[in-house]
Amino acid sequence: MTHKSIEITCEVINQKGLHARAAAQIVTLSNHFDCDIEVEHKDKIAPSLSLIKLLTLDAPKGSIIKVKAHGQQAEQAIQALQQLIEQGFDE
Amino acid sequence: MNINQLLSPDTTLVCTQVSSKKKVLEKVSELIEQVSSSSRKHIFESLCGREKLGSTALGDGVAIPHGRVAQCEQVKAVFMLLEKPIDYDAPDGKAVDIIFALVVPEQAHKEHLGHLAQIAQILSDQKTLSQIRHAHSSQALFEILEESASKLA
Repeated sequence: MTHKSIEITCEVINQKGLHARAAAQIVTLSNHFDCDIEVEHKDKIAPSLSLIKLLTLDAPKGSIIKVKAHGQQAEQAIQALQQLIEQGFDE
Repeated sequence: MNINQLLSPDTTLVCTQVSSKKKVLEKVSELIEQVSSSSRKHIFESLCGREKLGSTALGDGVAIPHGRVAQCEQVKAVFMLLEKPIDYDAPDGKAVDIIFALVVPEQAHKEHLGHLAQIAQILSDQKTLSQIRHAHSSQALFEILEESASKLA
């Protein structure tokens, strides 16, 4: 089984940025996939399952963040997370 | 603005008599009313409204109740250590004993995120959490937070 690593960058477009509820949505969504995911902004990195670490990223509207996934379902996870972020967390 | 500037010794306390999430939010509202121009009713409603959208517990016994209040002119914070941990619908199921509450003006999104990031940074450090849990007085609690905040980049 080959484990893929995928990396994308996307822009935070919702007015409130990566606030607590948006971060909680990343945690919930990440839980559905069998892979390790990290989110990066500037010099900070957070595992996508840690709500408190995601909040340390301090990513307001307009921030460019990087999402990296490694594992069996990396592709599906990245696709779902990209959609979530680029749709502005349905806000 | 550094997060400790939002707190005062009056809004930092070791709390012995709070036994539920509702009582925590009531206590927070009461304390913030004393240091702001907002009424405890408005503050309480805002904090409860936010909890209804999803618990503000972050895991590891930490919760960050927060809300926007129209009458609020400046961000105000309350920092509490509960002597007895309470159920807070946390994502990891752990009871909560460390509360960092924020009341924020309506449109201050960027500023609010900056504050959340500082709080998350301080309260994701296991050593700091342990120090907080060993604080025996409100003054000690205030000093721990001041020191952690001063180390933030």
